[in-house]
Amino acid sequence: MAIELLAFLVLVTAVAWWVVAPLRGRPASEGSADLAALEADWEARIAAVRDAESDLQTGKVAPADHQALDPELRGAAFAALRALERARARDDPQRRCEP
Amino acid sequence: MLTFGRACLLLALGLVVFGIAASVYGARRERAEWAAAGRRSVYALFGVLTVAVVIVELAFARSDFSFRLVASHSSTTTPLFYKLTAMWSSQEGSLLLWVWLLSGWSSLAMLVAGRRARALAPWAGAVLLTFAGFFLVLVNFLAHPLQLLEPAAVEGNGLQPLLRHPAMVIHPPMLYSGYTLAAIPFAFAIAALLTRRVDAAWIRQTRRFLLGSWLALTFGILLGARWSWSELGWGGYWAWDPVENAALLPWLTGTAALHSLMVQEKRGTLKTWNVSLALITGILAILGTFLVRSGLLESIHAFGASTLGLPFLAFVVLLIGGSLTLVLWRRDALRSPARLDSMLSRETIFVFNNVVLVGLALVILWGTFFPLISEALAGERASVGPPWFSRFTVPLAIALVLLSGIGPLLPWRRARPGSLWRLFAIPVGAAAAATAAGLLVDPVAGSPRALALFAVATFVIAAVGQEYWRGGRARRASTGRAWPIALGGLVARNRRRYGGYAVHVGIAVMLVGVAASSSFQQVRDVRMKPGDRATVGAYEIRYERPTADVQREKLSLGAILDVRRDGRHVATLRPSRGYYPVADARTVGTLGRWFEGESTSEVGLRAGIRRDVWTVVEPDLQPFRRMIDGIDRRFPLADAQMEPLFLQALAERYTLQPPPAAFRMIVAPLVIWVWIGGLVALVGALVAIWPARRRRRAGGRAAVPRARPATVIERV
Repeated sequence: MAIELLAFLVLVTAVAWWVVAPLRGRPASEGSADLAALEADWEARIAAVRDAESDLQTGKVAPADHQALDPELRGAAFAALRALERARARDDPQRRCEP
Repeated sequence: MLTFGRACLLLALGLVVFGIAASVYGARRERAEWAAAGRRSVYALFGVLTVAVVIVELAFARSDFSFRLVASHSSTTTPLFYKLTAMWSSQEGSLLLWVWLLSGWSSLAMLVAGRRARALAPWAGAVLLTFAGFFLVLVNFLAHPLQLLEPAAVEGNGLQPLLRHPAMVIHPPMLYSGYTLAAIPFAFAIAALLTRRVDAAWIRQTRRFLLGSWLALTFGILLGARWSWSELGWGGYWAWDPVENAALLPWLTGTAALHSLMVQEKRGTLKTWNVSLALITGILAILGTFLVRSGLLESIHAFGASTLGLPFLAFVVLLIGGSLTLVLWRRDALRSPARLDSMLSRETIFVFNNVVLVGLALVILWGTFFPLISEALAGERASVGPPWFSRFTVPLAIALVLLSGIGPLLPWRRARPGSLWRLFAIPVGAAAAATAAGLLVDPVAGSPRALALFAVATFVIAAVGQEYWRGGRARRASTGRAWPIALGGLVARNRRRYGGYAVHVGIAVMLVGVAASSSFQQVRDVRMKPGDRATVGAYEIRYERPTADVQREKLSLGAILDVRRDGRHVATLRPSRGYYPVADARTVGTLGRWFEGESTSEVGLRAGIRRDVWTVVEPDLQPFRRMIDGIDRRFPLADAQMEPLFLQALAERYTLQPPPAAFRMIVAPLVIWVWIGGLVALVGALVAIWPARRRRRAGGRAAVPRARPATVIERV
């Protein structure tokens, strides 16, 4: 019983010490930008370019239709990538807190 | 150990409370260090619950009957393999398994999304911890898995005989993984609504978890069906049992979500629908657990009436009310800017597919809860059976399979009507050929539903085959590689698309198996003595001789059957009935206790590519009643040495003077294709979920290429 109590106290101390570790340091920010939305946008745009190309290769769309659509899709992907790169440039990795 | 384990479960509850507070504070005040502490609470929760699970498992492995759970669900004679999995045969143990799995998947979600989705992750973490908190309250205060039994039992009750099957070892963790993984899209959808960030970011964070949920549910459902076919002894693999339906419901809405999320990612539309589907899938996962655990509806999975019904009901009502309020509150943000361009587009097919899937879910939900609905309205419990379900689900399933073939053939945005013939000619031709062939085969021609399912399944297989072939041909032309390498490259380059197509084929094959086996199976119930013959379909089955086997924990009485077709030997089947004794011999007698406990059927099965021959036996014990009663009267409390002798004597008499036995014999065509189709679907889902090979930056963040953007786009 005493050993169990001691083991539990050790466990509680270790867990509490580890969980609140981020609070012991100076207040941290994880950077200004929330990249998730931008990354999601970039992935979706690039997937749309690939899908359109795949639709062309498998004969689902005519070359003329693909030629009309492709610049629009690539333009959107380009814009999404630029936005993401700009956000990343603003983001300061030194200020992130772990984990 | 027991006290330490109990303390761990209380510590877990404390972690949940702290984690929710830290996450919410971190999210509201934009304090990253608090959000990080909230995330660490999730990881720590997983660690602490792992300690509790290990303690329970060790108690089972050591047969420590001072643990009430071990005494009531295991015994010294239970094989170690089943001892280690006996935890989830109990109410208390399976709730612990649920919350442990939830904490594991939540940790993975926080690890993956914690820093990338900074606005969403703390809220999602708080929601996941709330789920965990609910289950921890149940585990700590209503169904504790770590209860002391004083004095400790000398021997345990053993594992429920029906659960001594390899499929049952994996089936519950798979279903629970499916349920708990469905909580992650739910949590991120709530986070997206709370933060008004209802763009595709929450989808990106949760897509793989939703697919993981689908994969686990599919595997779990298939294992359950397989167990039912090969172990339960009623002669089927799907009975529309409430608990089976409970797993199917989130599977259906999850399938719908997997398709419609793609539409939002690509076209920015269906936001309300998608967020609602993620919420509904999460709620149905809880509802599924509620159905299994509450004992509310009668089921072969009956765990009896329990005290958990009310808390579960309150939690489900809270989830439904909260979700509905949030969706209504954020209806402005959920307005979608884009519309569908054309009826002839892949996204339109996805919308139809969603309507059918949700329709199926509604039908099954209604049928499952009909006993409660009828009781509330008419004051009498009435239930609907398989014919009712089939009447509604078969047409919807045919429509669904058809759509799963049309979707891959159409492009995103719009298809020109002129190109349709080129796209559809081969699949339509194949379906027409299958229909014509079916009309020539006698039983198929007389079953329009089966014929329609065969035709649409052929359509799907041809459509997907055409997609692979055209994609492979294009890849081969662009790379100059051989066919297998070109095909491999095609799949590796777009795993989601081609993995998904394989899933469509798997489901189509599975439905062919379901249609054939349910429409054309032949059943015969006969009573036979050794030497008698019975005919089922084209097979002649002869009862050769009885068998009896005495083991430490069960007595098996069975039969050896010789199966012949056109006079040629096809198989020898050995169905048997296993009798498990009750622990207390004082009231039912030394020998009687073996027939007062549970009994199970061991199915004699010959599985084949074209058909399964399935048999079970029910020995008639009436002629042995006098012998059993006589021994019980004369030796009311025989010791451990005497009892096996009596059993051996009974077994010998059964084999020397066998009474007639009742047999059920089934010849069911194409059953094996249900399992083969399921495997194909699972492999397809694995391909789809497998992470694409991509460059990774130090720190684990997904790499967006570092070259100049214009160059990157050109490379695509």
